[in-house]
Amino acid sequence: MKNFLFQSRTLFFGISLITLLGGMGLYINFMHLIDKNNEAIRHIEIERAHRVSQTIVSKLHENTFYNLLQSYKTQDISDRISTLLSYYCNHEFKYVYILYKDAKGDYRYLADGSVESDRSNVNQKFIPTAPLLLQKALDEKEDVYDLVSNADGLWLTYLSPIMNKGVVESILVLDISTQEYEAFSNIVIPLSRSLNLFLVVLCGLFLVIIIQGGMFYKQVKRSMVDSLTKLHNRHYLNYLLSQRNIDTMIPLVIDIDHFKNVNDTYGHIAGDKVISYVARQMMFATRIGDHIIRFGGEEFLILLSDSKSDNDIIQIAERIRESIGNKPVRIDDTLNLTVTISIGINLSRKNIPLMESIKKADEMLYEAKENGRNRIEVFKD
Amino acid sequence: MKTIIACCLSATLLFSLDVLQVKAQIVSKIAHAFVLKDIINIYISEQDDLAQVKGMDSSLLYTSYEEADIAFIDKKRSSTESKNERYIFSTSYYLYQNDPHVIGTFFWQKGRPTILIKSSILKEKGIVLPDEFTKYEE
Repeated sequence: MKNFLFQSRTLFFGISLITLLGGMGLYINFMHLIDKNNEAIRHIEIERAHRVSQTIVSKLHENTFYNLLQSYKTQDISDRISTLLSYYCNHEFKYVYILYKDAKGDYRYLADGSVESDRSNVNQKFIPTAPLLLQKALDEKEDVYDLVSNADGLWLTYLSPIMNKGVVESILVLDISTQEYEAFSNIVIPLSRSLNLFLVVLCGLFLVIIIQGGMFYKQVKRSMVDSLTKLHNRHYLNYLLSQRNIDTMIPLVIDIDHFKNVNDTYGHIAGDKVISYVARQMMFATRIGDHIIRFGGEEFLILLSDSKSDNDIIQIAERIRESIGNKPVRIDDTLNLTVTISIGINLSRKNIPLMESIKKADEMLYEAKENGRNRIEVFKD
Repeated sequence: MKTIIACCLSATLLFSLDVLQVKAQIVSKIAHAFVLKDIINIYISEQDDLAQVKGMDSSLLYTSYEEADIAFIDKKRSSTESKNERYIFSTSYYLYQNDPHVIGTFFWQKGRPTILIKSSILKEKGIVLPDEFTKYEE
């Protein structure tokens, strides 16, 4: 039975575990994919920003007004550069502007290509949300970028220092909108939520399967176990008969002698105590791998492994018979009963169906009864 | 990485949802930095987008321009209205630059709040603001 239960339980557990692991694997893969895609989108945006900034910087260097603006920071000159910058403003690069650092160390607008409503005046003070990033662009004279977390509709800010003879004279800023990122997120977030839900459902199902499996295990165990003796019952024998490699087992059919008299004289409670006692003694005498089955009312079947020798089997049977016959069963404080058992064994090693083999052992039991009881009769080829 | 992206996304989304709340918080902070009263009389021009923050802070009592302790204006007021004891903030950079009575400005530009304060007027009036406002002074 252990095998059967183990197999069915393992099957249940295995399927649900595989499903759960599969779901988790799917989730991890998906999250990894999101990560990779995010990286890729960011990389593409940074590449684009780099190309655009290079183009703008080269256009600025060609523009005489830009050189003029460095010396004369007036609104009309700034407006001309702002117009140039505005050509590069679009849904992706939402704001394109140039900043400079004044003598006090404050950042100010030099030109701004943003739409009219967002356009800043020349020399307007710029309050940087990430001052260190601006300083980094100035110090390292390299393009830098960062995620923008405190601005509405912006994802990344890209800073490109504008150099003149090795000196950074201003910084070109490209504010990249969340549009591209949101387009991706709009697809990914519902998918991610669905996957989360799927995983939660899967975990719930797994839990249900575990509970159901446990309940099924208990139910099957209960249906195959005799409630009085805790030995296996006939259902279990039926299950055993459906298994492979069972036909070679050696059957011992055991019957309590004059059990009807015990029941009739001392009652069913006493009878039950006798049966329980006999069952216990059989359990003590056998080993794991042997099967003990309550076959009928006072009849038991022991199936021993065929790896045991004939002598060993007879010794086991003898030990059971002696242990039961030698010690009285305590029914209550005033009554002790001595019972005996008869055993029929089929030691034939021929590969015949187990039921046939049991039938032969049963015939031997009948012979033991005929020959005076409290004895063992053995069939050999 | 995942955390950064999630934070960035949620911050961006939250921020976009809560622009009005951010505006209300800034108005409240400016008002409380300049006016040392529990209940502050405040004026915000009805025509201005900033007027949407009305009622979001119970310590700010919305009144007329004349009764206000601090006012956020979108157009130049006459000099007779501009009493010395009232702090005037503009909601445009132009007004901030061109109206000598305006002490500071707060407006929304490039998806971010922009705050600027004239340090010359602060000195003139002997106003000392909390340290967090230092970066806005010019």
